[in-house]
Amino acid sequence: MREDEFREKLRGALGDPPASMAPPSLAPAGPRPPRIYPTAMGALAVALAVLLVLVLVGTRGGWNPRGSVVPMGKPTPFPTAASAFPCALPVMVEGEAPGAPVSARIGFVNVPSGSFRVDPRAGAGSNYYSAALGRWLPATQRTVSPDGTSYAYVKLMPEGASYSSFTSSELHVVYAPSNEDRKLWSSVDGIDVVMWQPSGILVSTVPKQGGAMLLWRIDPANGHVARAPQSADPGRPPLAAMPGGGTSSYMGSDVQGDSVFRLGSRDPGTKYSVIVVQSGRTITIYSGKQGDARDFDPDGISFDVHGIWFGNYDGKWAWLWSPTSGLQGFKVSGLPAALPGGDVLFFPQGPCVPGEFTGVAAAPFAHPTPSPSPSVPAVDWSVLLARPLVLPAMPTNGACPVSPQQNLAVTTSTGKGGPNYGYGQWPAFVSGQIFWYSAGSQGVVILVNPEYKGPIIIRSKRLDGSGSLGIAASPGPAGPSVALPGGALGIPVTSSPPYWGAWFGVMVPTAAGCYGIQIDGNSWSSVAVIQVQKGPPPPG
Amino acid sequence: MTALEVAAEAHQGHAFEDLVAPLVPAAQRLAYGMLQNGHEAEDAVQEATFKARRALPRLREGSNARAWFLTIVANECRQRRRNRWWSITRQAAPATEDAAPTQSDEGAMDLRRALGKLPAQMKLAIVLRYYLDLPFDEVGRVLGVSEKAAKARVHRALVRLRVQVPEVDTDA
Repeated sequence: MREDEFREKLRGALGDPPASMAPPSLAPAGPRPPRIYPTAMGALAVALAVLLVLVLVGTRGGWNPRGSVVPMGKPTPFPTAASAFPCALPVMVEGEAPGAPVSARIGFVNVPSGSFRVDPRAGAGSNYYSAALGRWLPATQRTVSPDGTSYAYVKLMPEGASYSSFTSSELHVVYAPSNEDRKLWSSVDGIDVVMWQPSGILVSTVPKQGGAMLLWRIDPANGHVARAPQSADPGRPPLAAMPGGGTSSYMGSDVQGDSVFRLGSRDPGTKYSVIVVQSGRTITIYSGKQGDARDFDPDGISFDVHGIWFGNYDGKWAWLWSPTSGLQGFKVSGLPAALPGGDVLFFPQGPCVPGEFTGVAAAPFAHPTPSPSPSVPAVDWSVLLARPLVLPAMPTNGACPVSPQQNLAVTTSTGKGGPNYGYGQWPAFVSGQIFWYSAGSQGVVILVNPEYKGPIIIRSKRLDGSGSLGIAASPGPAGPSVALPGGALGIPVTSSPPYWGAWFGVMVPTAAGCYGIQIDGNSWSSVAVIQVQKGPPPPG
Repeated sequence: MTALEVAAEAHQGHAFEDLVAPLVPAAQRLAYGMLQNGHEAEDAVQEATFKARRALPRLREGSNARAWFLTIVANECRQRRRNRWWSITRQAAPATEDAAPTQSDEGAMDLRRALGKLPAQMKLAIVLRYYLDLPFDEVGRVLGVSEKAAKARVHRALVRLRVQVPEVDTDA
């Protein structure tokens, strides 16, 4: 793949920044508002902790994740990790490999055995397993109510709008057992659900045109809205734990607002820590070096009465951390095999529910279907090679008669336009560069109008001295071509109507100068004259 | 006007805007490329702008102002870079049964996911080189490494992405 091809692909993947992005204020920052520390925070945290434990423990008896369930003893109010097993951790397994669509399998990892089984009940949109309801919801841990029966989501208005086109946004709450959907709040700004906590739904708003993010706490019962301090955002970097600065990434929070962060990057050999911040107190879950023998490389998180669950980047481990038991790893088996060159990952998607889930074995991921190679017709190149090379002579003033640039409307079979300019005449054009250089290779694109799809040959000659212009296929999917006698290059199939043909190659001049390039088709010739400047092509 | 002269004027309180305003589009593009979220990118650029104002006195003579500012933006993005779980859950609406993605959608998704799994410095190198079109020497300035090292880092990132780019492969 050439640089410009990859650049195009990357831009296609990332998209452009939204036009609605507002420029920053360049004025000096004013004094920051003082932090607000609610005095009742400590008592509230204790009350919420007790409430959470009661709710989660209360839901344990009601779950029945058939397959088969190992009978459980009477749940203890404060189970230890050991006494709470076996349990089934809801996960989403994803497989990815070059050329293959991303595939997902939804099911449970049984703990402590580590066996993964697919849940056939999980349908499209299943993303979070509610232990209270015993079914999957189209929601996330952040957006699900603490009792697991409802979830919040944001609807951009008008219907079908995106973040670049919305005129207002609405916060909705769905009561899952009846699927009742209530609009709770609306705003002209963009709403985002930060976390559904026992004290209300914490949301953020950002003006459509950009600006400061504000936090709000909304009562799910009556829609009452109150401003929340910025410190309420559970994802704020734990600056107190990072006295020297550095990289931190927010992994998630439980309903009490205890937040888990990774400090340090994933660069191999980098020292890193995973911490949980509880009411301003930092507890280290693990410290090590990226790539060390422990292989604790967390990705994905969920919280329950056992503690904090993590997936792993390599998909090999499910991890559980609790203050009493520390960090435990459970080797995972039964995941679909990774495709060649690919990875398999899984992410916890809810609390680990008591029992053992049998479900069904995971089907393997589908291998990418190779595109059938188009049959390349046999071409008698001698006919085209016999055509005379008719290039313009150098004028007496010595000025290279450079071909004028033609504006083209190129549409290729990838659905994207190719270069919209070229040099030469209908139906074939030389493109890829506006300026050409003598020292080094540079990309060249041969564009062929869809009115012609037969074979072509490309020949060239320096018009003002000795030297040659080598043209060869670029590595990667350039399209079929064949080197012919005399430095000519043959391309057996050009366009694919209604799409233009775009053949990607590399051009290497041996010297600066004026060059003629002749492209011959079955009944036509196209000539482009280019000036090759001395020196290497500029970077990029 | 050299960066130092601009900085000197900024000390007088009226040239910071002249220095930074032309750099904002590149900064926004960098932030969006790194964070893939318009709101977060806006916040990152805003915060970086505040930090840049405070750091302006440390801008050395002859420094490349664009690389200096983009470095601050990149650091801000690193601070804000959420892990994969966070980015997945920051969705506007619950997932629904969408139409089957096209091959190009899948390719773009693959690439986004692969980028998301790169170490921050590798992703930054790729974004600077191929999303902002910076030459390698400027990529190196933002990364704080030499041009050669920047090229090597881009090369390693491409290898991790399983992408072969001969222009980089041959010289890295």
